[in-house]
Amino acid sequence: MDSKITQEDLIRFIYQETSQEENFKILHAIEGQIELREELSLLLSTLDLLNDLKYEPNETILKILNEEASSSSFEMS
Amino acid sequence: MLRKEGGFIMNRQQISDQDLILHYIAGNDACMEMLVKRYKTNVYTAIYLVVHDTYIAEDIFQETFIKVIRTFKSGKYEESGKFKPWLMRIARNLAIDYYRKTKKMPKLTSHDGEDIFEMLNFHEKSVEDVISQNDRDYVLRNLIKELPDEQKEVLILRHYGDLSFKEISDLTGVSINTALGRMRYALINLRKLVDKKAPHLNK
Repeated sequence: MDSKITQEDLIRFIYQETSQEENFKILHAIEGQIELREELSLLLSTLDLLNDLKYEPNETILKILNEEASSSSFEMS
Repeated sequence: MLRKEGGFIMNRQQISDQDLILHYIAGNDACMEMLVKRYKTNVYTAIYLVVHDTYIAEDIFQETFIKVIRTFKSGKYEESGKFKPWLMRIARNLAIDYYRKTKKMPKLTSHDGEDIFEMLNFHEKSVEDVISQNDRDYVLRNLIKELPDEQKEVLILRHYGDLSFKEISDLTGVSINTALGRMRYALINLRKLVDKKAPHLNK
């Protein structure tokens, strides 16, 4: 691992929480280091799997919430 | 895209949570509906991956947003530009409360309400059996469930709850570096589990 790039930096990078300057450093480090590139590849492939999991609540629940949102009166502060 | 919604024109892509909340409190009910729509997938998926039961997940999801709505209506909501972390905090606390009250694992049902014990046993499935997306989801969900709790929590909050590591740090009381480390181990361990138990999930 590049001494300037930590494993935690890679995690922030894949979740787009790094600055442009950090992105540049990380991309530069990836070019030169197979170990870093392999870790990034492993992390991204796992992320790819996770992206498949998405669930939606039942439409009935959403209707109940809409009714709740429009039914009760607001308290005056 | 511009749409007429609740009596005035608004841009679905650009309007902030804060603006939606202010308009809702000012009397535009459609703005609450938009807030629910904006976060329903993140919140529901996060809850479902914690409780693994459709009916309980729906109860917690509903209770979460009812708390949100009632807080808005009571005038007690303090806007600090952090609606999403607050929303996830409510959902997380309700899920924790649920386990404290029941002190047992919920009856497991699949996402469509089917009793899991009526389904094929996960460990006995062959690669050939796993062909549909529902099956893939089921296998992956069970692998996530096998992760240590602290890793699973960060993974769910970051990936499905869409909280930043700073927000996760604030919510769970650990340092940002600890949250990052847990996320890294969660991804690495999940990859090992997939490779060992369900290599057919690899695309």
